[in-house]
Amino acid sequence: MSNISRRSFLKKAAASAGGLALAASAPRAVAASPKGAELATVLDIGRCIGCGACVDACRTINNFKFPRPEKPFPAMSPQDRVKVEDWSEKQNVDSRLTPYNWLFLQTVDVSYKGKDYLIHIPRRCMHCQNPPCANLCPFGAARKLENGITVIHPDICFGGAKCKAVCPWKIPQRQTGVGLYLKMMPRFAGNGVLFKCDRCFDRIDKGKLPACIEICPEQIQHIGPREAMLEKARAIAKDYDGFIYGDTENGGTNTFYVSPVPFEVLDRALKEQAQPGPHLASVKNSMAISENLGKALLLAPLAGALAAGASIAGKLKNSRD
Amino acid sequence: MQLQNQPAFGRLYKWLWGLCILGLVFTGFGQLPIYARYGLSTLPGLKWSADFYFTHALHEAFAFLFIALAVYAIVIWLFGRRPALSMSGLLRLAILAGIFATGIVRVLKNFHNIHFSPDTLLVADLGHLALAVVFLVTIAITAALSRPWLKTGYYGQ
Repeated sequence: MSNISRRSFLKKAAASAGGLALAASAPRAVAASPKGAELATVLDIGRCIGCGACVDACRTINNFKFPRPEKPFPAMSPQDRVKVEDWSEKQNVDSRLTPYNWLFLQTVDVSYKGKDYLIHIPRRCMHCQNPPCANLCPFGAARKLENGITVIHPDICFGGAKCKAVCPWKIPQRQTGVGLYLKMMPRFAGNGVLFKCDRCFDRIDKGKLPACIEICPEQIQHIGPREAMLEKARAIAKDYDGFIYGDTENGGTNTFYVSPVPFEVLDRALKEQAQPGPHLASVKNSMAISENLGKALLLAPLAGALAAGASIAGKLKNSRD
Repeated sequence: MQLQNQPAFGRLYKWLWGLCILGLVFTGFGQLPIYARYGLSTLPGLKWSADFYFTHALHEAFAFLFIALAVYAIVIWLFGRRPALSMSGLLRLAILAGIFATGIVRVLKNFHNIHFSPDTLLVADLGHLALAVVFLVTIAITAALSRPWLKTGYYGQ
């Protein structure tokens, strides 16, 4: 008897059902977003069955964007500190984020208020409203689009992984041996390109849905203008007395998870059950200090002018004396 | 005007200006992921240099000092004897103006509700970095050749 896991069974069943559904119906278009309005997604993880169809669809649809590294990789200095990150031989890994897998499922067993839950959580970039990855990228490679999607331009990224260092969830994943650094000084600067979910921005530009949303047989994901999606998330949460994650995290993101179980409980379970990847803890606004210092900068001319005025007044007084 | 015979910029100003430029350069290059790679952050007392959020905040603090000192100089110039800038002074001023303009764009982009197009930010990001490198080269050359900012001596006279 073949050993078929629950997940692989669900995956096959869901892929078939999803494929039939896609074939039978006209593709649902992304709800029109008013000019300047950001798109957000809602994920009702209370209804996710963990089939993995979204993971497979993401990998298939975005395959043409995946890295094709040149080998052998150029030597990088200093060797003890700069490590090669090569996922090209492990492209099939779908149990964590990699440059070839921009979406994966975390699964946790939890008990809450005397009830047991098996919760599946599709994880990928949260698409922050004020993304530190894009704000702090020194080369302008990580960028936030007008519709709220954050992308990393593979032709500009140098692979320094600063975006990953400043990301509260450590989402971007690096592949060595691709990108601009190869054409510059690969020994001394750069180390590939960082990859992450780009919310199928190219499909959205054509009025299509992101692959993960389109394929979902349970339709647990929704996409639309942020305010409408936030309302939807609140309505779902109200329905089963649930909780929302992502609306205020890191100053606000464009991804809202809705769960019947508090996210502190899920986050604890992720750690206890050694689930890889991003946490579900509360996240303070990473850019808050920068925003406050930016406001203070507006007062700098005033400080300089006042100091000069005082200096001039003092000298005039001394001259008179 | 009586001010014409008074020292316009004292020793404190020069020290503050030097500190400001040094701080901006160090924290500015700290925005590139190089201090950890090249072991600078492993040196005693320099662990903070690999903390991007910290060096970014420091960079903005030095930018505050830079703008205040620049406005101070402009006001003193406006109400003083207005000596002419030398060619190298003009060049340095133009580069600093470029660094200031691209820096302001970078500050504004960090605000929650301000959005620039990715191409604008690409120009600002790369322009800021390139101009900083050009500025460093320029001050190295002008220092080596002892070229003053002004046609006539001005500092601390």
